[in-house]
Amino acid sequence: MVVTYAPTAHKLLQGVFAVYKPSGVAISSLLREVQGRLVQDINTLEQRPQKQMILFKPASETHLTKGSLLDCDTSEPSNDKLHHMVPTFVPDWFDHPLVQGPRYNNDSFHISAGHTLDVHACGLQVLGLQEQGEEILQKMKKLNLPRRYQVKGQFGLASLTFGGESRIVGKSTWDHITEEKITRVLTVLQGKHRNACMEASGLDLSSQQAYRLASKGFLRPYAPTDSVLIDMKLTLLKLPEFILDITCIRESCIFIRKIIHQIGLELRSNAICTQLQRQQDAVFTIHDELTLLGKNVNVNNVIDSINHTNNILRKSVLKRKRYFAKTSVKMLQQNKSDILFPEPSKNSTSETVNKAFDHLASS
Amino acid sequence: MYFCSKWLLHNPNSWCQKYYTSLLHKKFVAIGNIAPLIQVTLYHSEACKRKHGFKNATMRYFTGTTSNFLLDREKIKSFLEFDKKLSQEMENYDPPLTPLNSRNFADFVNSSELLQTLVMFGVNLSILQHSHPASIQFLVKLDMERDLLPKLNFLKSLGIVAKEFGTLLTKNILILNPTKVVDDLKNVVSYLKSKQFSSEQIASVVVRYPQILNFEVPMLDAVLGFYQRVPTNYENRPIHYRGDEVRTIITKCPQLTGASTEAIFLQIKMLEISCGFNISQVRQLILSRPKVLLAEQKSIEMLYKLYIKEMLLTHDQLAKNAFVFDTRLKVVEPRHFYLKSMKRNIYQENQPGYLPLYDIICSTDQEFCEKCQLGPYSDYEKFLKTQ
Repeated sequence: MVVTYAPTAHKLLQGVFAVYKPSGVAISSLLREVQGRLVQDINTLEQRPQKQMILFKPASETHLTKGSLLDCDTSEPSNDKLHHMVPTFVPDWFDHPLVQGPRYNNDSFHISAGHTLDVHACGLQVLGLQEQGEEILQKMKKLNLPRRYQVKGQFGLASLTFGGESRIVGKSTWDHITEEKITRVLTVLQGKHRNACMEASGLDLSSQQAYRLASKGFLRPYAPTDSVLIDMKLTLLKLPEFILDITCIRESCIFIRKIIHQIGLELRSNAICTQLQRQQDAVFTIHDELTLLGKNVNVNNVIDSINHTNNILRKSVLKRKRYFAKTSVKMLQQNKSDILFPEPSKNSTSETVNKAFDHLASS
Repeated sequence: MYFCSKWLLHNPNSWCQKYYTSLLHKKFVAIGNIAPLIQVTLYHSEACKRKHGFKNATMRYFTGTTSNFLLDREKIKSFLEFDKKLSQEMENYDPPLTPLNSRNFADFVNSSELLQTLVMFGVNLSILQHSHPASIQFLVKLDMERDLLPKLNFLKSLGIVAKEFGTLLTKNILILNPTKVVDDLKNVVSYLKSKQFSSEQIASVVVRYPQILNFEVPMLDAVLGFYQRVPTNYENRPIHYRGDEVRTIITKCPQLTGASTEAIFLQIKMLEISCGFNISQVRQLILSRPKVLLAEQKSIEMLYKLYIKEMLLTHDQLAKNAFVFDTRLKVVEPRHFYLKSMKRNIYQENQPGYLPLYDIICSTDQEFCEKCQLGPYSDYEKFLKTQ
């Protein structure tokens, strides 16, 4: 569906979508570019009609023209000339687009960024449009979903900020490094983080529930923690260059670069990160057609990608959870045996909930 | 107020009464004399209510608030007398008054016919409000036949179409200033004609850079003289341009006449010292793309670094193809790396598989993929997502 009427397009431009951020572009300039392109494009669409105002005109003029508000009683003879004045609709010059400026400007789009990328990092960046988009971003932040990165690195070099852009501080040999040694270091690091992850989950580790969650891989930290590595994989090794796939929670770009530096030190060498690319953020992936390049940002493209993500997110994020009041929960706990407790998987939820409330009301 | 009361008196039966009673309440409460007026309207509406059973919300509102005054008919009579006096005074009164003072141009448009005609020509008042906020002082006082028409006729005589008046006047509204006479504009044009600019050249210069009409002739003469003998880093070796060359430079980029000469000297210095062009190459560059002199220094240096260090082009090649400085780094850099990843980065003419620079630099992304035969456009988009 192609939207051609600007006010409807402006209403539809609410929600979350993903953009590709190239390296060397700051997040603020990316936001400015997206905003500018949206404003420029929405002003080329069909705009709302010019407003009209009421003017008083002599009845003799308005009889012929259309748009007179009412038929004046001309049968009554009167000397008063104002009596024959009739209100008519006339286009209001005050509301002309050349007088008021374009209908949409930078203030009509409020853009907010999700988990932000560095200047030197590239990859997928989630953006929220208007207040609704900002709300969804905050909800997604509370869910603590993992993000996947692809890191290109180089052994034998050390720099000030652990990246390839800053000054090279040291050099070392890298001949002795093998794939086996790297995987050993990675597993040790991963193990440490997994233990921290389990401790922060807030569950008794000897319980059945903890076992069930851990076997599925759902055991995630719910207490506020530092950045946690979930998974690290060596995808390519072509000495001195290498590529790692890293999945983590609550990370920053500097944190990942620092970990590459630490891996280099563990291997009795040095390592810098030459390229850091975010490939996945929650439901958004980089190779999807709906993650837009900066030049492809367009009213209709953005609406398409917002609709697509809304359909996915509606099941988990957008849906509002229905909670019981505190008192009713207590009563439920007291006489658990008597009440049919709602189980969404087996029966349809509404029936069971209604039964439970009926029971409460009667007791 | 006078009019509204009259109108309501004569047409109490209309559905518009609702609108006007609310309007009266909104607008004339500030005046203070609202009470008798409401009574008059109510008097009639009460009468009509008795006749037709006419009801509406506003009437109910007023009967609620002013029920005490309803029967006070002496006040109504006094008001009607006052109203008659007003009618005698205000027979020749035009209702839309201009506001006494306002920063917003839009407030004057409904009352001034001249502003309306300017808008009909396509003049963007919202831009003028930011660029020349003081211009409203003379715009409102202008007379259509005395001030506007002779100037527009003069522009028409230059060969400028009526469609272009809008953009021209938004760029330079000061033409319409009454202190500037048509002869002042004629002086500039006649000077340009005396320097053997053709009439087509003059029209294109005036349309693209109408600020040239604001210049005084000796000032313009000095600027053209500067471009005949442009100073360089070496005092003894300025760049000389012939008359026809100066004319092509000015018609290609008329904005140069308004630029400060010091900035242009610094730009040439930058081209010589940090980009390493020699004087004949700089001369060639300026002649083919005079816009280089107005570009940002940093962007030109970055482009230069890309061309010389990454793409391994020579200075002669850059000076011949001066369009290379028209683009942005953001556009050219990924294209070069895409060609490099396919091992097709051959920019020297004598080598096989040579790709012309114009196709690489001055084309859209789709054209770039088509002309250089690099496969489908979607592949290039995929490549952009790895940068």
